[in-house]
Amino acid sequence: MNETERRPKVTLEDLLQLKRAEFPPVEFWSEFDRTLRAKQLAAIVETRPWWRSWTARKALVRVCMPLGATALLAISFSSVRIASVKPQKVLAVNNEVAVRAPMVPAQELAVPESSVAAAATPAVAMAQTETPADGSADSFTSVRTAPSNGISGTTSPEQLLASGTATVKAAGQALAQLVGLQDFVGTSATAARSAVVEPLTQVATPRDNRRTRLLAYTVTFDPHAADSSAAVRSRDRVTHRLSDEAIYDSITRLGLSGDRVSIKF
Amino acid sequence: MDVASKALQKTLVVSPERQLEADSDRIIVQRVQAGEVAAFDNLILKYRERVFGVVYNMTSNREDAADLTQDSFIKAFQSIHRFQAQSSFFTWLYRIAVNSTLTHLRKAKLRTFFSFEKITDEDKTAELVNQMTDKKGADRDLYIRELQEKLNEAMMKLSIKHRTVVTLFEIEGVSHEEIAEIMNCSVGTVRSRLHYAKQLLQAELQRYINP
Repeated sequence: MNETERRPKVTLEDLLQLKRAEFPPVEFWSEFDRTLRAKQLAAIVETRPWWRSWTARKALVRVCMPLGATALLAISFSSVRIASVKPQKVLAVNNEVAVRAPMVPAQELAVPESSVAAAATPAVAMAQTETPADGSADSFTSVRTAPSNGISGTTSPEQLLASGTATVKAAGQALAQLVGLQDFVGTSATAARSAVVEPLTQVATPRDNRRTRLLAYTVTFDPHAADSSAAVRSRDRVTHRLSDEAIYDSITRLGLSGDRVSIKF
Repeated sequence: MDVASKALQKTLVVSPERQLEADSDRIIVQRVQAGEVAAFDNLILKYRERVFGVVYNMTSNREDAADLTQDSFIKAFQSIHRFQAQSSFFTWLYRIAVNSTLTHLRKAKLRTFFSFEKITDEDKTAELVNQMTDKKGADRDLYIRELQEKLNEAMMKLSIKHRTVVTLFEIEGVSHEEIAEIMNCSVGTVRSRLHYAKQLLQAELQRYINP
């Protein structure tokens, strides 16, 4: 008898049916029931964490989506805001310099124009704003917060620039009111800058002093002359084109004797 | 007819007995959901052997199967209020058991200890065994034991999903539609997996079975 003939008639389905008959003994089920009962009681007694309860999960799922979306939106909005605020900060610094001028105490600005002109210089203004007067602190704050209120919600550079310009104008007006100028020229930043520079041009240089001193010897001023102003103008016109050396040389040709003045050409 | 009943009928269209069983289970579940906790014991007594059989044939380990069966019943008890009768309780419970077993098998892939249950000597089984072999006494038992061992080895060579399909269909007698619902896949996928798994088993057991 060969191997094929000795092989029993077993199919795969028979073998699988045989597995259906595999059952544990009866005593296994008694132990199974006892353990299951203990686990069931433990599950009833045990307090599950709040996040594992179905309602909590449902609520979390319901909340997490909009919460996450809101957080993402807020982060992106704040990052965009920060990125757009950088140039605004630069403007704010400039505005602050311009706005700090009104911080000069009113009692100091009320005294002579020379001190007002000195206070108008940036260095002096900054030095004075380090110790602001109590009375001017409020006005400073209000002027300083004005541009930020105007800028809120606008992020484009043009709008930032416009708001910065408005701030400078407001600062100029405030400065003009404090100084006492009714007609503040254009209330623009350039006008304010020119107002700041102008006192320096009025200061006489050593060259001008020397020129004036030398000319005092050359021209005799006659208070009784009918057209003294014309004489002064003609003197200025003549001496304007002469250099210092030329004027000095001309003095050597001058001579004073009594009430006469001789000039050699 | 509500949506839940339609969904249930779609699943159980092949088996009217299952429909009756599902209806009776639904009543018990409603009692449990209403607060009658003791009614859940009826479901445990009704399904513990079947759930254990599925888990045991998937794990081939008695202790693991017992633990996983108990855990499945505990999970079903804890989540009974979520059961909305859109499928039969039997399908829902099987899904919990299969998912727990799949998770366990993925975690314990490297440690597999086989244990074999003794075949109950019922009339039908005895007839089947007599048909398989003409041996008597100890030789017969030894031969059956060898067949069991080889079948388990072949089953363990299948992937977890193929093993689950074979267990549910060939051993537990669950329909294709119910397996598809339990495993959350299509009926075609179930049939394909079953066909492939049987081919592999026949290839592994060709020395012991007739083609």
